[in-house]
Amino acid sequence: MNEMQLIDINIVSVGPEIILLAAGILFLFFKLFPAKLSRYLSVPAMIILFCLFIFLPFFRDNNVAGFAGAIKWDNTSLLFYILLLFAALLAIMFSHGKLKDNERAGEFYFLLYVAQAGMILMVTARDLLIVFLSMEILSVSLYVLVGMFRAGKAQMEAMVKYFLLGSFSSAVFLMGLALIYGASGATHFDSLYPATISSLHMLALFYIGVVMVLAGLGFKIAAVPFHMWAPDAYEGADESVAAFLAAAPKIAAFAVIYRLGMIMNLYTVETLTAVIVVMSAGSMVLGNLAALKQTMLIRMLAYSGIAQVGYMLIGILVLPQSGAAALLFYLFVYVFMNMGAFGIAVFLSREKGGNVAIDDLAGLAKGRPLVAFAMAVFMISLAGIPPTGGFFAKFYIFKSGIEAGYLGVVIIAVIATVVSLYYYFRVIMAMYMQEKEEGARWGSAGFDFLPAVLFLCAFALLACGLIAPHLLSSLMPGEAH
Amino acid sequence: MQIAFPVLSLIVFLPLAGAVILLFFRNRTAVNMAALVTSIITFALTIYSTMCFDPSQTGFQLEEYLPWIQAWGISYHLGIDGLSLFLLPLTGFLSVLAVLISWKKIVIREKAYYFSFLFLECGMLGVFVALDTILFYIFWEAMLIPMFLIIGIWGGANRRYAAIKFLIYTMAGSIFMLIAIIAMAVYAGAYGSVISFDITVWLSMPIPANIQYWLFAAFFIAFAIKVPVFPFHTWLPDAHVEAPTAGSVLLAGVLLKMGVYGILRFCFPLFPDAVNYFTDAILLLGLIGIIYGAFVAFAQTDLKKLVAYSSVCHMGLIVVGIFALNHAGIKGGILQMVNHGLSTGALFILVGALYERTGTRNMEVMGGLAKKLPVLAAFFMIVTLSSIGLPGLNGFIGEFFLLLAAFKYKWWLGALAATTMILGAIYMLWMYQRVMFEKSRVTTPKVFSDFSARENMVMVPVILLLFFIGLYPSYFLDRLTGISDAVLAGINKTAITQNVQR
Repeated sequence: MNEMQLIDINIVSVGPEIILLAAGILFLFFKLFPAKLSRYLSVPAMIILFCLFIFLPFFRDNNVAGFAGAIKWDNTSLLFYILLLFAALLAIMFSHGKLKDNERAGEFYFLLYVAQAGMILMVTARDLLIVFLSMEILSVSLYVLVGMFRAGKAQMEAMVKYFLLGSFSSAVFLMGLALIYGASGATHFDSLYPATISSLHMLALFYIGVVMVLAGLGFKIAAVPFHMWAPDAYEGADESVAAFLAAAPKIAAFAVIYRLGMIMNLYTVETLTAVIVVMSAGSMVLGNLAALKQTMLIRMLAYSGIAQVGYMLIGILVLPQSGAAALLFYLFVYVFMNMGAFGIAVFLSREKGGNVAIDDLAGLAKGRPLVAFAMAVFMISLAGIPPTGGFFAKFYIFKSGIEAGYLGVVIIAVIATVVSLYYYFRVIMAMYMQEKEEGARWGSAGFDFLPAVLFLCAFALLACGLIAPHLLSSLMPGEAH
Repeated sequence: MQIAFPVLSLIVFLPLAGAVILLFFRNRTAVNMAALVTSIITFALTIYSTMCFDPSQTGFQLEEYLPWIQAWGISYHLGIDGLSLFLLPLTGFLSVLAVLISWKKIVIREKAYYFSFLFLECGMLGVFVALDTILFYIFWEAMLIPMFLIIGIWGGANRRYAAIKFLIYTMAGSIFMLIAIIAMAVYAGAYGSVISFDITVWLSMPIPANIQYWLFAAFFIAFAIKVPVFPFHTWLPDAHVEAPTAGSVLLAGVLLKMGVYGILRFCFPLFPDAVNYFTDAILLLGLIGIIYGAFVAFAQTDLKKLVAYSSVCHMGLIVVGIFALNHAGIKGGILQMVNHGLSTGALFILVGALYERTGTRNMEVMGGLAKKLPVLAAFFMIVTLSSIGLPGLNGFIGEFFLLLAAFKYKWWLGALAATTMILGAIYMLWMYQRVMFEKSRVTTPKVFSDFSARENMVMVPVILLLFFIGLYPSYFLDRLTGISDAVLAGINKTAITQNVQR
């Protein structure tokens, strides 16, 4: 390893992170402002995030690198970056109007920005140590975010559970990292070729290390068997945080899993393939079956999210070939459909207060037809039925799976999809075919910001069918790697 | 015939445009009118497409082609041939009827109703004209959601159960079809080096027999659920009974046809080896459907359920006919699809009309209605006879050809299938006797109003069509020769190489 020169640092490569952290720290001073302004803090938070899109033309096709190659922006990183920005923007929109006191409002957006910075670091990192570091930045802020809003017993339990399991998974990741380093003597992705390891023992250690790293990342994407925390944490957290938690860390962790596979060409190794197949099939089967009997909306969405991860892992299996584009496309659609569905939960909990049951959706079609329509689109998209984006995403995943010869996993995915129809359509049935019990009406005071956002999400999903070709051509660089 | 505008695209997307437009109307009548006008124009266009069709040519006509997702080999490819030729106007016609019979009946959320309805029409028409399998699949699936809503929102007491059962059954079949479609495209990619979902490309490539069996099974199960072939039929009675009248009409009239359409469009030309291999098993299922459906129909007291099981029976006969693998069967099958759509659709309309007047569908508490509702009774008689297959009416032509095909295949097959004529006559005429004749057992309102002008407007064209097909079948049969040649060409070729005795 060369000694790092000052010129290698290239501060631009962490530009977005610096902006986020600086803005986040400014938010901390927000308590100096009058409390009645706090509900408008989401506006600058959104604007700053929106400004981060400005980096796109600079980083595009430029392969900006920094810190002696530990950070590198290729076009695939940019796609993950865009996804992360969308997820954070949606989460902030969902949180709008939630925070009534200035002290916590500042802290909330500070933590969200720190988490966001951690994730951006994660998708650009090319060194396992940086990955670990960024994962910890992300995790620590998420632990606080989960427990921030409600101080009930269940919420504390959720937070502690998330914290304990999260730290444990970080430890597993670190252990794996140590084994990899021990076996190969490197932590940088580019020097992690299993082929350079001569001794069989060392190779075994190396693969054990990779499996442990995958386990640590598996926790972040909530794949079976590392999924236990997800339903409790989502339910305990505020709905807007849950929406963020269910999408953004998954994007970042998938970026790392993807990176490991692409650069080290790891997933052609049979043992590792088997690990991913088990994670994928397990997530699809368990997630879907568990979602069937949920009565609370958030818990149902949590298990549905676990199942969705199972589908996405099929894309990981097919990595050197078409899997990359399939995975990215799925994530793109997933951000909108899953966060949209959580957005409905945000909307309902505002109307009702407290946790939302699926039956609480009854009569929504009559009271708020546009919101109900948006939710129906999210559910149909999650179920993978045309003409929504969810169909194309699933179709592409299945197609790449079949092309690469993973017919068995695809058939499990198909059966799991059929099972999932029941719980996704139960939501639609509640909205459209069930009457609201008490005569209570849905409030609709003036212009409401949230339904408009949700409707836009739904529209984006429907439009996905038409613009799928253009989206795909933009995703192709990932495939051609 | 060369035409300057994309008539098929117009046919498919006009209902969708109408659906969007009617969202902007506030007035109830305006919404109704918008739906009616849209469906009538669509129907006129489907008639126009039929007239443009040149029966002397083989292959697809009125084709439209646009690349859509080139990277995946998906295109926007539409076209019609003899198979879809009459199904388009059938769909257009039944849609107009369905709008008319919903006129006063739908009292809640009319806008959503007509929106779903026109969306459904778009899906149905799309299925019949799509020549790209992904496009086909999109229409096929997109159709499920409006039907799910129509059953689930505007249906009877047990509607939610019926709706979700319908949805899960149909999806379970079709998602395996999706896998088969992808596998086919991947195979096309391996064979022709370009991945393609276009059926015209698939038709030109040979598929090894061992692959054919699996792909055939995946396609066939999807279509068999829709038909429905015997063990997959259980969703049908529930869906029919709970659906509103217009929903039942389209379900029986068009959706069931898609199963047979799919079999003839995909299974026969693409997997001839597999068709020859599975024929006997499927014939057996078809036979069970005919006889079992009839016996279950006997036992019903609910009129709608009886008609639903009679559908199982009739569709079973179509399956037997087409899997007899001869010209009479294919032609008869396609014609009988139209016939069944008309007569069963009409039966559902009449049952719906009866239900409105008597407030029940239970045959045990009806009776003596012929005296009180003479016009309705007359219509009912004609439709019942058409359904039984009385010569001079449409049902006879179709059933005759189907039975002829069955006899040509094996005499005992024909003999067993022919029981449908007897059994059908028994349960249908017995039903008619219990409802229309005998002593009145109706307790609720003593005075009924007979058919209104609007209802007559619905029934008269149907009755005329029943007679038209019955008396001048060659208009239809002549146009089906080309397609039955095309469908059977591949099958006969493989049958010769496999030395199948027929």
